[in-house]
Amino acid sequence: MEELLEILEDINADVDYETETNLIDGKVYDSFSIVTLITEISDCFDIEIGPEYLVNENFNSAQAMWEMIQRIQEEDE
Amino acid sequence: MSNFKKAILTTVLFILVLAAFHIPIFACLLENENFHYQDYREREALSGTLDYVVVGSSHAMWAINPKILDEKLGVNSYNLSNEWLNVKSRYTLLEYEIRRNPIKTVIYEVSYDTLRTGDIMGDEYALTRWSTIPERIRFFIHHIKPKDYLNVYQFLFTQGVECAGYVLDGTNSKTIPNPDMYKGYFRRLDYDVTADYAAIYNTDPLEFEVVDASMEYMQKTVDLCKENGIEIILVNVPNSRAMICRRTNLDLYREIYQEFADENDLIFVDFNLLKTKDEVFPDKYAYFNEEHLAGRYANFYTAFMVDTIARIESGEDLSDEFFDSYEAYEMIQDYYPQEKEKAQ
Amino acid sequence: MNLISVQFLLFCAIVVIVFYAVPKRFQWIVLLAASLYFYWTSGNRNILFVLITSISTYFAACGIQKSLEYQKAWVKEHKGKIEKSQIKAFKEKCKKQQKTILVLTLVLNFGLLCVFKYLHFAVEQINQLITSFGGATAIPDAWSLIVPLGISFYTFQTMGYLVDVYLKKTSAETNYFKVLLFVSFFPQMTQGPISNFKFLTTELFKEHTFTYRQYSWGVQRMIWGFFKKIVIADWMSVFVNDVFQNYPSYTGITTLIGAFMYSVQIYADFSGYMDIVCGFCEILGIRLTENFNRPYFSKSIAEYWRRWHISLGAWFKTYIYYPIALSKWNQKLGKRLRKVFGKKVGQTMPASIALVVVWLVTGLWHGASWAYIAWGGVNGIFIIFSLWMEPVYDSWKRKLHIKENSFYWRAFMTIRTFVLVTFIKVLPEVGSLQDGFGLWKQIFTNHVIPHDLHQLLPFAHSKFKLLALAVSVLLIFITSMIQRKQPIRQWLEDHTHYVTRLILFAFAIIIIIHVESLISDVAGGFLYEQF
Repeated sequence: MEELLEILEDINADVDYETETNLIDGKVYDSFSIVTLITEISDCFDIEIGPEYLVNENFNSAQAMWEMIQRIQEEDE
Repeated sequence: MSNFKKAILTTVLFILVLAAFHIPIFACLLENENFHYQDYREREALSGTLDYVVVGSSHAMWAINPKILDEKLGVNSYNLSNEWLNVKSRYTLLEYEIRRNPIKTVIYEVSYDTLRTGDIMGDEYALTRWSTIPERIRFFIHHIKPKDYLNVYQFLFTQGVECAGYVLDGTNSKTIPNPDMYKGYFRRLDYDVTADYAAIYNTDPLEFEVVDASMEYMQKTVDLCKENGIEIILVNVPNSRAMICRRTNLDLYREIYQEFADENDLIFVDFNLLKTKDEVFPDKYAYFNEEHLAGRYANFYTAFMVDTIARIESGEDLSDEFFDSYEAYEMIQDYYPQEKEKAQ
Repeated sequence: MNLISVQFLLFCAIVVIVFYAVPKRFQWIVLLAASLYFYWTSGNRNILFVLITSISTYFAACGIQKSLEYQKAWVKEHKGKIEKSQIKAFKEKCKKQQKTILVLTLVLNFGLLCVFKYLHFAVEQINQLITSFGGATAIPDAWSLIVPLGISFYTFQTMGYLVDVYLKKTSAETNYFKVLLFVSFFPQMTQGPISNFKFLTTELFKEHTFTYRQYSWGVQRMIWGFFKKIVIADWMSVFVNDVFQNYPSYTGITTLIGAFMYSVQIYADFSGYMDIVCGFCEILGIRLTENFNRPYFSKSIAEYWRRWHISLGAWFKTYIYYPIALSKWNQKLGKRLRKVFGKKVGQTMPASIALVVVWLVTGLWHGASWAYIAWGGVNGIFIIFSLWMEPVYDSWKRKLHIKENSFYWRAFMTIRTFVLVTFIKVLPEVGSLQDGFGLWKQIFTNHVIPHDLHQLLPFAHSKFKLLALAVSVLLIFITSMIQRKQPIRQWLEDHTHYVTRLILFAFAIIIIIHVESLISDVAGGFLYEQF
């Protein structure tokens, strides 16, 4: 989770990732940031985020992202 | 109140408010002489006194001045023309005025598109020229087709807004009489028609079918006049040299009118074929656009027309003073292409 | 059927009545019948292409879905019983099958779109290429085909659905007629919006209850849309066309004003259409995605494209930008670049490549000409440039102590963006690309100061009419400002009396009718000067 928060802070340090639950729907992250985020996550956690995971619900909060990462990691096993 | 009932109520109220907005607009329209051809009050006032009437389209409306007719002939004349007035509507208007006036003479203007009544409007102007609402409704039902309803509505609406402007301005003709209108005749003081004749020669072909209803109503008009002992004379008022140059097929329609006149034993004078037309009505000074005479020359033309008709009626042969056909006229023009002559 | 016509309004009224008269479960069938009728009146032959798209998509989506379900069931059954590599191989085989179906259907439908929209352009270019090498034109150029109504919109919308099924974002619709309605839903046919399958079908197939608010708000919105389209856009287009045709003889300032007027005109036109369509759907209780969000209040070009024609931008983002930016080869490239040039380059380059593709295709979508492709390219260049320059801009802002939230900064950025957007927008609209550049040149090189109002605005023949137009534009601006805080119709409900609203909207209709009859080309022509 720490690594995830590091990535997020790096992209946009002005957000409180503990409470923010509207990163995508609330347009806090634009498409460039989203691409950067996905690239960093796939790199850092060595996973492939399939297109079926690219939905707003999975990225609206740090918690949702973390759960998605864990799901993908489980599937790969 | 249920959703549905509330919606219906609102819709009905909305339509009522919308209708209410129309009332002042159409009231302004009906009350104003500023709006062209809105002459029903004038004709009401003259009713019972008219003995000489001109009826035609805009060509006649701008070309024949009742003031000159009255002076020269000692009559009480009126110009019943309006823009695009088609044959059926001419009949309706004429028949109405014959019923309430001791008319003795009718000048019936015919030009190249008089017989094309299928698609041209003109009735929307004539619609406003009736005295009472029932008369207007009757005219509307008999003359205006459903496909034109929207157009007529928009037309009347726009004119109404314009008239509202005049009323607010204080320039409606009740307050300030319009000096450019006289007993149905309209006057425009500007003029100038210039053209590159060689370039425009025969570039605008007249290709439309003569509508049967037009010939039928023209015959009805003549019959109506004969029944009432009225002399009806066909004329084609002068158009510019540019117009004749531009159009083709003018002889086609001239022949139709000539044949009609011969069959019904009527005088028909096409002033476009006057040999001295271009000197007497020069393009540069006599017209405000290619098809309509300017004010000064309209007076002159009216007098000239009266004299010409008088000469014909006295038995004089004027055939030397007119060309036989448009082709004969064009063949001696400098814009007439020489190659065509060689080909013939 | 033209949206701006009495026939369309009558058609809408009938649809609304029938829609609410039938049992709720048949409401979508009414929509389907209406859509097919609407499409039929646009040209009988065209319905064939809607059918081709809907049928091919229906079968492809069902085929892919079946394959996915079979794959899932097979994997579940065989998990733990056979080698992982075998499962992987099976998955790959299934995926290949699904992909084939997908690709074939995409090629069919986009192929149809390209034939209609771009064949003429392509043939023209090939012929030009051949003649420039001295050969005779090889291909006969009789390929200007009449484009079926809405093909750009419904093809994109439907293919988006198919891709969503392939990517397991949504499951395939098993009722063909529901798919047909999704493809042919008539309010969207002329100008979009391009909807997402899940979103639109939820709206279309739910049960709709008539409510007074939906009715009154919907009608209000439609009236507002007609007002924008007719009173502002159509009227202004007379002036704008005058400038576009005659700018070489007008001053630079006049030409610039013409360009700004074009910006206002196209916004009023397009968003007016959207208001009519969305307002009508609102009466039916159907929510459509918004296409505009006060776009001229944007502070950057990137933001502008998130607020103008939103549904198109969203489609390109979902189906072109993300797939390219997140593709394996692009990510690999990014990693390699990061090693050599650092993190910033590694992150920005893959996005830039994706943006180049998005913008060239966007340009091409808008029109089959070099002018539009150039227009797309220019937009792309600006966006990519500002992406690369972001850290530089940030450091400038810090050095100049500029507060992002300050009113003056936001105003400056808004005006700057509006000016930029206007210049870009105008480029393909004057005529050819050269005409567009000619217009730019005229604005920058002609420094004549107009000596009177007539020279400044030669296209305006009446002061009153110009004033009326200015007031209308001001009205849009004011409603936009109110809209920032709350929906304008809510504001009206809170601040005006019921009767006032009736009168206000009736007055709007009167103005619409009046302006429409001034502009419209009616036989007998009161467009022409009165004698």
